Amino acid sequence: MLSKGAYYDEQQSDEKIIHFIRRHPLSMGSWIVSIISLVVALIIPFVIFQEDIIKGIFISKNIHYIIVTIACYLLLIFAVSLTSWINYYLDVIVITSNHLVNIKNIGLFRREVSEQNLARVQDVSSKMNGFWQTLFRYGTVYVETAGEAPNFIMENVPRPYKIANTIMKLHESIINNNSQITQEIFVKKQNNNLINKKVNNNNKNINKNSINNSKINQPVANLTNTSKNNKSLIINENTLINLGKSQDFKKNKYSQEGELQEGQEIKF
Amino acid sequence: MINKIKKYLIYLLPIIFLGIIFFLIISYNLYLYLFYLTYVIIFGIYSLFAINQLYRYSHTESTIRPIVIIYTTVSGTVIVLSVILLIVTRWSLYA
Repeated sequence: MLSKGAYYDEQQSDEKIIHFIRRHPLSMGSWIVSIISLVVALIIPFVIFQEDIIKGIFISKNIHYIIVTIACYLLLIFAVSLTSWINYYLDVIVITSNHLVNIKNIGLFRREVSEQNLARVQDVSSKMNGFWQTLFRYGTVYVETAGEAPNFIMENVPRPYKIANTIMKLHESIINNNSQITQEIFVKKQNNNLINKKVNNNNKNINKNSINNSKINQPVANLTNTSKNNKSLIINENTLINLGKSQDFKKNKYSQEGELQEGQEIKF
Repeated sequence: MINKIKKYLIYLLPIIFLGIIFFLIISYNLYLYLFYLTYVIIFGIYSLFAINQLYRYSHTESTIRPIVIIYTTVSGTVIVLSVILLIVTRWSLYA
C-alpha cells in the first residue's frame, strides 16, 4: 500500500494532485471481448444440447476429466479477468502541481513509472483517432519535453484536449512563477549592490572626516569610544564627533581642560 | 466455545482439504488429480501475487477490497465445488 494520501511512490508532501486519470474503460475492449467469448464458449454447448449433455456428463465414465477441465477453465477465466482488471486499475496518469507521472502496469511482473517535470514541457498535443475514440471522446496526449528526456505519451485517456490544455496551463503558471522569483532575486541583488556601494561611499567619507577630525580635535575623537550606538554627525568644518542622542562626558585623561568638564551635557 | 471451534477449524480445514485431495489421488486417477492439484496451487500463488500487487500499488483500499473478496470467494467456491463433485461422482461410480 502506498503511504497515506500518496498517489505514487515518489510524491512530495507539498505536491497538489491536479488530475488523477485512468485509461478509458473502452480501451480494455479487447480484454472484455476475450473474457466474454471465453464464458460464452463454455455456456453455448449447454444451451444448445441442454439435457442431453448434462445427463451424458453424469453418466459418462470420464466425468472426472470433465469436472477437472471445467474447473481449470473457470479458474483460467478468473485469472485472466483479474490480470486485465489489475492492468486497468494500476495504469494511471497523475498530473500534480509540479510533475507529470505516467505509471504503466504490463502484466503482473512489469511496472514502469516515468516522471517528468512540468517546467521542462515544450509542446503538448492531443489526438482522437477512429470511430470509437471520436464517439466516446478518448484519445492520446503527446507531451514533448526539453533536452534528451523521452517524450510523454498518454494513451487512451478520456477528454485528451482538456488534459493537454491543463498541462499547458500548469506549465505556463510554473514558468511565470519561476520568472517572478528570478526577477525578485535579481532586484534584491541589485538593491544589495546599491546598498553596499552607498555603505562603502559613506565609510570612505567617514574615514576621510575622521582622519581630518583626529588632526583637528584629538580629545573629542577619544571620547567617541564611550558610546555603543554611534552616529556620525558633522558639527562644523573642523569637528566630527561620533555619539548617540546625548552624552554625559566624564573626565578623561585625554580630554582637554577648559573645553570639556565633568558632568557636562552636550546635545547634538 | 465458538472461539475454540474457530481455532480448531482453522487448523482442521486445510488438513481436511488436503486429505480429500490425497484420497482422490490414491483412489482413482493419479495423474489427473496430480495435474489438478498442481494447477490449483499455481493458480493460488498467482492470485496471491496479484492481490499483493493490488494492495501494494493501490492508493485506496476501499476500492480493491470488494474486488478481492469477490475474486477469492468465487474462485474458492469453484475449487471446493469441483472437489466435492469429484468425490460425489467417485462414490456414484462405485455405487
